[in-house]
Amino acid sequence: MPNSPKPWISRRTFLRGTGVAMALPYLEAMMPSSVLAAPTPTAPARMGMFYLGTGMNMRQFWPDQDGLEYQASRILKPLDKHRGQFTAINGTFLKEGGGHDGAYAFSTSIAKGERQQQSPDQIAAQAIGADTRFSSLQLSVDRGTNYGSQALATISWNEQGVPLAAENDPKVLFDRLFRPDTQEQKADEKNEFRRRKSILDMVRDDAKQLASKLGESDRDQLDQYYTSVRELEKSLARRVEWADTPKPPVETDDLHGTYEKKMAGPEGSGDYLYDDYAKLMYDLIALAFQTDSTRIISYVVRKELAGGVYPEFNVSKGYHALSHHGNDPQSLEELARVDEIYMNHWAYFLDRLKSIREGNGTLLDRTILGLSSGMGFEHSKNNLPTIVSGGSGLGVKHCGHLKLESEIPLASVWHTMLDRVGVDAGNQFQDSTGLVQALVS
Amino acid sequence: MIPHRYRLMPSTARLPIASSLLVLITLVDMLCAQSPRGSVQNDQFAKTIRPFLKTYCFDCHGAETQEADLRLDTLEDDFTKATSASTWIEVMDKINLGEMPPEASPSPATKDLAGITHWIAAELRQAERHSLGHRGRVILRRMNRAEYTNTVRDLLHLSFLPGESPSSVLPPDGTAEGFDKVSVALMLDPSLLDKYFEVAQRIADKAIVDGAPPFATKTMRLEMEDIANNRAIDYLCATPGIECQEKAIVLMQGSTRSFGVMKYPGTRNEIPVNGMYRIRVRAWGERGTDGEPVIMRVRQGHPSADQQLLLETEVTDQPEIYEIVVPRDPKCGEYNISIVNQTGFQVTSRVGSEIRRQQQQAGTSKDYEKVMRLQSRQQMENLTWGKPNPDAADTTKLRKLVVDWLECEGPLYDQWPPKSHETLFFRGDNATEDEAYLRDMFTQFLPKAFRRPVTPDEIDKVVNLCVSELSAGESYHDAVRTGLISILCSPKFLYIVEPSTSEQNRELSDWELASRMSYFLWSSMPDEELFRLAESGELRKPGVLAAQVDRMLADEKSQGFVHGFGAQWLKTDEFRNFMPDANLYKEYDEALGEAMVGEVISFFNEVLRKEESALSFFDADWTMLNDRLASFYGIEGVEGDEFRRVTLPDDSPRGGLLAMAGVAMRGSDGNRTKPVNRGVYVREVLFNDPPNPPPPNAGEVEPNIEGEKLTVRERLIQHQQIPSCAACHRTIDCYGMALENFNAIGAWRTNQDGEDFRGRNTPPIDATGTLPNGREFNNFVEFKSLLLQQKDRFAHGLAEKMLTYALGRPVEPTDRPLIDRLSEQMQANDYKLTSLIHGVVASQAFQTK
Repeated sequence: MPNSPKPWISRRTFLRGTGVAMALPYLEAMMPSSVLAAPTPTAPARMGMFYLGTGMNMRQFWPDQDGLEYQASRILKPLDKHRGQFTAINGTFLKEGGGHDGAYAFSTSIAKGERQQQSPDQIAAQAIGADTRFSSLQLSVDRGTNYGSQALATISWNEQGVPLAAENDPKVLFDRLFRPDTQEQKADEKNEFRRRKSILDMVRDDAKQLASKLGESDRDQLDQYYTSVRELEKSLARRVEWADTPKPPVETDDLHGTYEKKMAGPEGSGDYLYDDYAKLMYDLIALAFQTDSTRIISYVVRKELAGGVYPEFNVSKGYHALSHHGNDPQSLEELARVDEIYMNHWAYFLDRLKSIREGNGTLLDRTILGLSSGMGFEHSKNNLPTIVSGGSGLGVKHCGHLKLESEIPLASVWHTMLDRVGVDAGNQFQDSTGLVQALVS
Repeated sequence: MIPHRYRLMPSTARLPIASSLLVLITLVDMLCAQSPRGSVQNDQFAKTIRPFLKTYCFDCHGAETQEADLRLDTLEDDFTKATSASTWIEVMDKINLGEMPPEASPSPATKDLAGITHWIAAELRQAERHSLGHRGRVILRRMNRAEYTNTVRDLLHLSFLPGESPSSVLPPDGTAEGFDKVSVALMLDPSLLDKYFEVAQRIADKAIVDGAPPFATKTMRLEMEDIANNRAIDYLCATPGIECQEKAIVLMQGSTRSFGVMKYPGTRNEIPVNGMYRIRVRAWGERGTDGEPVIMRVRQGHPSADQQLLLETEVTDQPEIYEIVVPRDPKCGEYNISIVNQTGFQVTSRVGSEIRRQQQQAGTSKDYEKVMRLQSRQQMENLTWGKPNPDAADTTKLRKLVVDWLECEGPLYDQWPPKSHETLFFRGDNATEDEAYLRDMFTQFLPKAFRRPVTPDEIDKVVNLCVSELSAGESYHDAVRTGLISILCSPKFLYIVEPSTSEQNRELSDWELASRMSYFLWSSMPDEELFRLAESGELRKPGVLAAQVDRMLADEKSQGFVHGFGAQWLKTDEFRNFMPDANLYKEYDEALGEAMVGEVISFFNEVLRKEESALSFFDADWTMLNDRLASFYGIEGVEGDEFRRVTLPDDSPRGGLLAMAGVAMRGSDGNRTKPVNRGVYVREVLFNDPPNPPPPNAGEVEPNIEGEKLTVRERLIQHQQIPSCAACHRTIDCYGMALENFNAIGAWRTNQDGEDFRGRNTPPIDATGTLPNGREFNNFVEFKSLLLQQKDRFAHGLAEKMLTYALGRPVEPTDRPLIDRLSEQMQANDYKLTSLIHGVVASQAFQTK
């Protein structure tokens, strides 16, 4: 970790807006001419993994033609304006996926109930996440981990294979990322650092003492605690180091009276409207990347079993119930309609990333995003709705509808993404059969 | 999907019931010494499995050729190895799917095929359970979030307001074996430790206070006669149906409000801070000519709809004070009192409405001339939406709600400083705040927090931490807060610790036993009495242990057991996994869904507390109802939201768990019933005997093809024609078919309803079937009585579930003698849950690390 963090963009840069659908002025306009005169530093590489639970209506997903010149299918239609910036990969499977346990194997290829391993985002966080305020962020439509339940709320797993809790409240995320600390908070922070450090010292000592009295299996269990203390110590050190660097100033449009309203959510709060929520979460990711607050994101956009549809979608059932369509035309129709809505949000997200200039390209060019599910259609292990977006500045070559001759494990897609952001995934990465060559330019 | 569960192996030899504990111990020891994998299984591999594979599989998957890269002749029967286990799974799946052995090969008997797949499934379960368990040892685990919350509540005498409780701040816990009690699922990651830290800080801030309360308890009151002199709301007095009197306000229609009158002094809000508040209203009613009692509703503005209603009640004819104590927060707004059974002073005017409608229509079609014409007619004839109601002309005949005043008192404090503060600062306000006091404080507190005696060294550590905070310039209170936070974040607090370096089992200490009991029955820490008995070494004395169990069950804290064990055993969390189709099931709403869960939980509670036979879960002539559910069941005379015991009418199909709507709804997909899923529930919940998992891509019950109208049953029977499916489904479907009289939301039906079936001439429900043991039933009632004959199977299953919950580990083959004894004991005691609980606590497994 460097002694003084050097963000790649100027911290003075003034960014506006996190409200839904606001315009972001280009960074360059905000920069002093001296900065513009200097050689443009290369923007960092970013990576994001996105989980859309319960598969999709794959009958309306794949276009008939291969390559870039396809006739858009119903579900890919919303992405049409981004053609050339994404590839829908036809032919991915999860060996341990399918059914509602697929979320477990999604990022690790390891089945539910087995000891998990570090997920690709965390591997990347270790390799390229050191210079930002947050080495990675976990977002989700639900909070925590829900470990044990099929409705897993996270797809991030640490080195010990412990699931990392995700956050679903945009306000909490916004405050963590951007809310400037007041003078009082700063003074408190110093005290808190000290207090936290002494407490961590003490409980680490407690854990050590305890471990000496335990048998092997108990000690294994306590090891999670011990590791967590070490992780917190590291992140405390990081916070101390970042404490004097102000958070990037981001203003919410028309802050007057609307901040609370804009930050409404998560689900269950008074004014919750999924459409606003979805866009806001994508806005926050875009801003987090733009301000170089983090370079790694994982986001459970839709979880298994519960939820997935909202009153404004105007469909008769929950997503889960729809996915048990059993060929009922009405359910299939509604399923596709819901998928379209999610794809519209995805298009919105790509739009946002594209609208942000970075050097000669856009933020999207230096960000590689992988989206898929734990199942395909009718709870299958294969035929996953896999889409890789962005990253043309990182050596990703997009080919529209990529119909693979033989199926590949989803791990190959993560493998490719890691490779493109410059992370060595080792000799054998999960059950990957190597990079997706068609995507590599 | 069918969740993975574990059960006793069918192959585990049934041991004779031991008549004395001594014999039992010997047996247990003997079993412990055995390798976890019985030799019976190995035999079976050599005798039947391998020969079978040789006959049917080796030709294509043997030494010579390995089609699909699969080689079976070298496959070991070691299911603990991931590689061989996954190959076995593939073998099982292919056979179940009917894909292997292929058509052309000599085809084996269905019975033999089933033998193979059952053997594989059983071996897999055993291996999986073995990997979760540790030969009967209870593995260190952290508290789950319910336990954490209850422990803090009892340790510091803190009560939490809704939304502020740690259980709503901490993330949900994982589960294994169906319960959030098992070590492997209770993991801890950095973000959780960070949350513990955050929660501990909040708790410390709440538990320890500085000086006087930030907001003193005050009373805000609105005398209703003052409304007439309040320029902002005096319009009320001129509103039809409202009359302002010298001492009160009279409502025949509509509502009165507090506007800005009741704000907490010096603030802009009615409610200055989260807390408890007492709302009081003095009111009475005047019945109208129809003699109906007057109903009053008191509300308070709030952004969340479910936070608005304060009280709704009939009022007496004499003045009375109506009162409620509720948690309130600063988002609350002004108050509002209304008469529910009001008289409309306006009735809709049909002519007026019609003219409005025409106007609108003309406007849309841009016929403005017509709009003008209609408008002028409307004005001339004074036609509006409504017109005065002639029935309201004589107000002496109308129902009236008379309100004298409205009052809010709060925030309420039980005491100040709060009990939590005194728990630490036990010497009161005037004590000298020095290091010695710190030491005394934590000498008292630490043993309770760690639930055992502590060493002077452990106390020193906390004291030193506080002292270093003091020298950093923190206040005395803040230093103690830091000490408290460090304790609440310590693994010695967060984990239920039973130290043991030896691989030998050992007897628990009395302190550890006290904790096992309290986390079992209260989901919380031991109380003073348990601590005292542990300290004096009396806890294990004959009679004492049993008396403590009785005392603990009688304590209100045993709600922790009802919501911990009861809810998870009966899977109430899964009742609402599928939303019923809004068009097909218009009767369904949120309140009904909640009541379905409520019925099952309160039923468990009632069985436990009234020492009813656990066989009541099979059948009972009573159930627990509130008004919403009673009206859904068509049972009259139940009013109010709370659940109470109701004796069922003779002709009611209800009675027993399987007749409860929530169970039926869980086994439906929102459109149609899922008998297979219901069958799995019956086997899993009532018998702890879940069937083998289905092969991958096992289909759903498909909707009908256009023009065909098959019932769910007919479609399932088609599925059963396939021999490889039939082997399993024969032992599942009957349990679900018997419940076909309960539709997708648990309403009783005698004819098909829901998908595809509407109107008259729908086929009648066929709820007949044959249990796997060959016994036939013709309807739900006969089915229930057949199940009741399997009491022993039920008792075993329940004992296994209870033991898993109590120990926080999977049941293992070595537990078999104990399970036998527990179920015997329960059967000898009229199937009382309490006898099972007593048996578990008295068992050696429970008292051993």
